[in-house]
Formats: sequence, structure tokens, C-alpha cells
Amino acid sequence: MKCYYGTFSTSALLNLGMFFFCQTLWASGHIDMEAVRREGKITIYSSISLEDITILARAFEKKYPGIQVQTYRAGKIRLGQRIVTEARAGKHIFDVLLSSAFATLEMKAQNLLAKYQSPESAAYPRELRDPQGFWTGAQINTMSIAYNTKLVKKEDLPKQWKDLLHPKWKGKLAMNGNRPEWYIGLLQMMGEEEGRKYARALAGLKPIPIESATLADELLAAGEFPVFVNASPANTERAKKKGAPVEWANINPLPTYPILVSVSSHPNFPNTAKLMADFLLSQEGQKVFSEIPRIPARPGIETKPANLTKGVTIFYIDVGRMAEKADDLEAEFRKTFGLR
Amino acid sequence: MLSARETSLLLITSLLTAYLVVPPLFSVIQASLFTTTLTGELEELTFRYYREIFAGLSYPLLNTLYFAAGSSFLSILLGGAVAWIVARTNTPLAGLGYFVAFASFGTPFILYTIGWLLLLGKSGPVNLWARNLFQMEGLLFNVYSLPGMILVEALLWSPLVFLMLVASFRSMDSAFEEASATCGATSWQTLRRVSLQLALPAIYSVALLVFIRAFEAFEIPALVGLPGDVKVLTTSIYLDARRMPPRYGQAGAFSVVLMIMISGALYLYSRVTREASRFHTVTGKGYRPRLTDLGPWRYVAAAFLLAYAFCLWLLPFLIVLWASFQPYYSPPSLEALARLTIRNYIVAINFPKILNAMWNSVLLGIGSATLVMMLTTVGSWVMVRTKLKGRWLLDLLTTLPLVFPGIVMGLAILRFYLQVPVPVYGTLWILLLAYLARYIPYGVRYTHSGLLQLDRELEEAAYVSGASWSNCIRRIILPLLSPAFIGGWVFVFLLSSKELAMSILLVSPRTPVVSVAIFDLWENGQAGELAALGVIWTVILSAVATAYYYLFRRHGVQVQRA
Repeated sequence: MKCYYGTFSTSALLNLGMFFFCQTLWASGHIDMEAVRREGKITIYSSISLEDITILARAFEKKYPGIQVQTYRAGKIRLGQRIVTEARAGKHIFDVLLSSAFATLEMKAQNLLAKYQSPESAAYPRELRDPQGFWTGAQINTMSIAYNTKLVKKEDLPKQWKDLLHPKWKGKLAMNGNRPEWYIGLLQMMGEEEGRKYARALAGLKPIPIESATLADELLAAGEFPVFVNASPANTERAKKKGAPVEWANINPLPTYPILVSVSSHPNFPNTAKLMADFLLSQEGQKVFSEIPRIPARPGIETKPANLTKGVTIFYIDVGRMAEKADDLEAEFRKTFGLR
Repeated sequence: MLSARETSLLLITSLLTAYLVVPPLFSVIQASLFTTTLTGELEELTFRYYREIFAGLSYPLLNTLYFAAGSSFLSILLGGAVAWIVARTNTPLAGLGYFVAFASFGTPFILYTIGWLLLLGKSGPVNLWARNLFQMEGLLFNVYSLPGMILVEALLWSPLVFLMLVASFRSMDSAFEEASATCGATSWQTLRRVSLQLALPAIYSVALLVFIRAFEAFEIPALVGLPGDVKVLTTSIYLDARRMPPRYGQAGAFSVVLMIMISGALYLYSRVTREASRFHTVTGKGYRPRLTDLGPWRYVAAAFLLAYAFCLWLLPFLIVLWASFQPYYSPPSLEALARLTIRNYIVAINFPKILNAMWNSVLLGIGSATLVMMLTTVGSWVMVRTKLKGRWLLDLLTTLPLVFPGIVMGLAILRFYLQVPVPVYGTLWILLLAYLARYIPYGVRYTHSGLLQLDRELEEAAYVSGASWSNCIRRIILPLLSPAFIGGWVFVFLLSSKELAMSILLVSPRTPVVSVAIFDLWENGQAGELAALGVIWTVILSAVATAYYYLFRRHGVQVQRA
């Protein structure tokens, strides 16, 4: 594992060489396939939807016949609670965790995750890899402005986040109060001081708080309000595909947070767990993400539709920093926008 | 002999109830008194949460009171009127009342709410038509307001009120009303001074349930109130529990405060119903529940029933049905008609393990409804019929779970069964135990007010004739109690089939349930698919509830047509 983070080496080139060396070595035989066959089972806990995690599980089962994948899905909060409660009672049920940073980093702090640097993770941007090797981002969620095309003209659209502060938007905006990632992203993107100033100015336009992303998406499509400030372009694309009069704005840049894959520190099926992590991060697994459709984190995999990432500048939220102060920042987010 | 049996019954039901209720009760109190670490471990004793609750009392309290009082009053008025028409009069189409109750209760909550929001929203048909009709600017009705919240909450609860009051109304001997009419009272006077007085225990029960539920409701305040900047006491509690890490201190403190309120309400209730004989409507003297002849007014009543069915069930259900055939939601129009599709149904049926989930949910619903009603029938019998000292404790124990926050209760049950050596973790049994604990309060309110209506002399007559106690329960009490028993059963069945807060923590990969699947679709933004699943699920639930109703009504009291 050292070879990935050769802090002892001063030569970047040498580093790169070792990097590839390790990768080929690991990929060819770091998992005992005989043990995998014996294990024959694995349980994934996930915070992405049951339908989507099931698609990933079926793809894995197809590639490795004879292995049965069990899935459990809950939101980040309850997922974390369940894992911690189980662990405290000495029951370790999950082998692989596929979840947003909030839950994953907390599990890491609880020593419930194992260090496992999949050889596949070398292909990923630095921002999506844990420096200590506990997790890798398998999928990303961008955040942007979505609007109802019947109510907003394209030329009126904000080109930058700052354009949204124009008084003409007053009373026309809605906001998902349950997406603190967006606020944290703004602060990291603009710098804390600038970000806070921006948020306060935006709050002055009185965006309507909606306590659910789905409800906000539905109401936007139904024309209840013209603009949804912190929408998910992937969801907007899904609605668009069905014919809804909605579109998202390609603002530069889009704050983006990852869904992380990690392996339990008390796996029941350790070899299959590693195999699953490798699969999710591999080209093949990433293509499954893309087909769902979700935005794959691995560079070079085509997104469906392509415009979700093509021509888009992505700002990766530093999840380590996000998790550190998540609690205070979420409270601040709610307070700024009068959400409590 | 009888008193030894009574004591042992009290003991058994109390122990069973305590086993189900005390562990979550303990957790709720603990949560209210301690700060916790990120992972839920106790840190230090604090009264902070109580202080926060009382500090928050100033402004939101008034809103909360308006909201709770308004919605319970409106739902009792609506549900009560329909119950009276259905149970006491010869109005045609009476069966519609049951149908609406079953079907609207079976519709997933979130769909129902979204149905109302779309219907009454800024761009919804109601405001759209009003704008066209009256050439007006702005809005006829802003749903994101206190009246909007009250309306939606009241409509949500009126089926509960109906199911509860209809049971009590059905068991009323019309002799009292006839006597009142003979004495020259007008029908209004009869209704007010006789019928309503007799139904008092049931009305108190239902008022207690609905008021408390509305007082601690957070879904409608969060989805309808927050966008309109109307805040109630529960808003901040709810938002705290949704934070990462979640905080349950305020939720715990709030439910402890509510528990104290409930204890007070129960004390009042016991004072009101102390002279139980005042409410005996089922006596040995030729008990004949009879229907009032409304004359030509029965068509007015039927029209009211139709309007109720239209507004409460058909309208939101049609919106849901419409949404289920649309690729994305759009107001009904000719243009949208061209987009009709069954794709949502195909996706819904192919949702992972959905058939398994439906089977589990129906099984759990039947199991918890049956067990809750059995346990609470015996429990209520002990409370109503015996003079044992410890009765009040049983009354309290069976009512407190009403205010346990679902998530705190779910965590408590999760912890409890991970620690005690009862091997239910990861099976359907843990869900069943959780549902039992959660729905005992409802069962008790049904059977308690139902038993109050039965005169003791009926049982005594049975004993004199040599019947054993179990025979008496089976042949006398249960048939006479059947309206309350059936009503409670259907209610618990429908309610447990939509339980989410605990289920989401307690399900395992092998024991999926429908409510969690519905939540999953919702979280994933698949509203159309959710609508389709909701339609299928509503049909299944209504079918089970109706089948049960007809199966068991045959064994109960038959109402004679006048």
C-alpha cells in the first residue's frame, strides 16, 4: 500500500513507475479467488436507492456466478445508526459500504472500516481517494440550478452563481433544505467568508424551503416555482428524459460530492468484499453506474447523458473537511436560510 | 374465584404490555436527559432539552395549538358526521363511508400529501380554475399556510375518526333516542343531549388520539408549513432529528412532556367515564340497534356522503392515479392525455423484492392487528370490569407509546433485541414486536370505549346460566364488541402497513416491507413509479380490510333496518 503514497520517495517519476508496477501485480492476484468461491456470499449496506444498488448487485452476480449479494438500503443517518448499533452488540453484518461521506467517515472514525486500497482506485482523481486508504469515491453527484423551461427563458439564466443574486429572482426560487452538501460546497468553492456573504444575500431573496429533493423536483416540473437552487442535474436529466419541462444550468463550477465505497473491518466474507470493491471501481462496474444512470466517478467513462459531465467544470468538495465541521455548517445553513 | 382470575389476567396483560413498552419508554426518557456522542453513546446528564422545549414555547406554541386544535376539531366534525350518517341513519350508499375510510387510509401518506399539494398548489387545478372563473389575480387558496396545514392534516385523520366513532355509534341502542323523541325533543336536541352524550367516551378517546397526534405531527408541518414559513413546535425537533449526527434529545424531552399531558388527559377521561353505567347502550333489555329514518333528508345525507367521498378520496386518489399513468407530473389536460403510459406500473412491479415485501407487509398487518386487538380486549376488560388497584398502571402503559417518537422507538427496539438473547433480529418477528408496541394505544382506545357500552348484566346472565368465563368472552363479549373490534383491527392493519420510522431500521435484506420500498422510490425521485405502486398497494390493502370486515361482521351484531 505504501507504493500508492510514496511519501518516502522524492521522485514523482519513480513514484509513478512503482504505481503501475503495483497495480499490475495486485490486479493479477491480490484476491484469492478460491476463497471467494468458498465464501459465496456478501452483504452490501448502501445509502443509494435499493433499485440502483440491486442493479449493481445483479451485475456482480452475473460476472461472478455462484456469489449471492444481499443488499440493505437506508438513508445516511439510519444507515450509520444501524451499523454502529449492530457493531456494539458484536454483530457485524455488512461487508461492503457504499454510502455518502457523512456515514462513511463516521464509520471510519468508529474503526468499523478496513484499510483497503483497491488497485482500481489508482485511476481516480486525488480528491476521490482517502489519503489513508479507507475509501474511494465510486460515484459523484453534481449540484446546480434547475429551472422550469416554461417559466424561465434561456437567455435570462444565471451564468455564474453570483447571477442568481439579481433581484428579479426574488420569490421565484426554491431550495432543498435537506442538502447541506450544497452549502458546504459553496463555502469551500468561494472561500468561507465570500461563501457566507453570498448565502446571506441569497437568503434575502427568500427561497422557498422544500424538505425533500423529490418534492422539489416534482413541484418544479408542475410549475409551482420557476427555479430550484440546489438541484441534482442527474435527477433533472431523468425528468427531462420523461418529457418534463425542466432543464439545468451549466454553471461554472458545479460543487460535487462523492458516494464512497469502503470495506468493513469485520467482514464475514473478506475476499468477496475486496472483489466487490474492485468491481464497483473497475471500468466494467463504472459502466453499470453510468447505465443506471448515475455519474461514474472514474475519469474516461462516458456519462449518460454525456452533457452531465462534458463541458462541465467540477468542483470536488473536500469530504474530509466537510465531515469535520458538518454539524456546525449544517446548522449554519439552516439558520442562514431560515429553515428552523 | 373470579377475582383470582382477574388478578392473573391483569398480571399477564400488564407483563406483556410492559415487555413491549418499557424498553422504548426507558430509551425515550434517557434520550431526553442525556447528551450523546456522535454514535449515540450517553455523555452527561442535562436538562438542556427541556429548557429548549420550554424556550421554544413562545411563538410556535400558539401555531401548534391552532394546528392541533383546528385539525382535530375539523376531522372529528367531518369523520363524526359521516360516521353518524353511516351507522345511525337509513341513508343510501352508507357502505361508501367504509370504502372511503379503507381506501384513503391505505393510500401512502406521502402520495396523499403530494396529491393535495398539487391539487391546491399555485399551479394546481383549483387555483387555475378559480383564476379563469373569477378572472382573479393571485390565489384563491394558499395551501402553504396554517389553514392549509389544518385542512390537509384533518383530511388525513378523518378516516380514523370515522372508524372509531362508527364502531361506537353502531353499538347504540336507539331506545334512548326514541324515548327522547317521544318526550318531544327535536332531532337536534336528541342528537346533542342524547346521542352525543352516549358517545362521549368514544369522542373523548378519538379527540385525545387526534389532538396528541396532531400536536406531535411533523410531516405536514415540514412539507406544507415550512415552505409557507409557518412553524410549529415540532419543526425544529424534526429538523434536529434529521441532522447528521441526529439528535433525539429534544424529541425525547418533547415526548416526555406529551406523556405528562396524556396522563392528565387519561385522568380526565377516567373521571368522565367513572360512572360507566351512564354509557351502557348495550343492555339485556331487548337491545335493538336501529336506524333513524331521515325521510327525504336521507338524500341530502347521501349527497353529503358523495361529496365527502369525492373530496376526501376520489380527488386525491384521481390525482395519484393520473400521476401513475404520466411519465412526469403535469396538470390534467388534453395535451397530457397523449402521454399516458403504463411504464410506471412495469417499473413498480419489477421493483426489487416487491412481491416479497407485499406479502410480508400483509402478513405483519394481519398479525399485529389480530394480536393488538386480542391483547387490548383482555386489557380493557380488566380496566373496565374489575376494581383492581393497579388498573391505572395498565391504562397508562397501554397509552404512552402513542407519543414515542418512531425513530427513538425503532432504535430502542433495535438495541434491545441485539442485546437480549431472543433470536428475532433480522426476522419478521422483530417488526411484529415493534408494531405491537406502537399500536397498542389505538387498540385500547377502541376496545375500552366499546366495552364501556356493554352492560355488566349481560355477562352476569351468562354466568348464572352456567357459562364459563372463556365461553362468556367468546359468545357474549366478542360478538357485542364486534364493531369496536373490527374497527380497531382494520385501523391497526392499515396503520401498520404504512409504518416507516421503525421499519426502515428493523428490516433486513431478507425481510423487505412495502412502506420502506415506497420511501425508497420517493427518496430516489421516482414519484410516478411510486404513484403506480401506491395504486396497486391501496387496492390490496382495501381488499384485505374489506374482506375482513365482511367476514367478521357476520358474527357480530346485525343492525336492523327501521
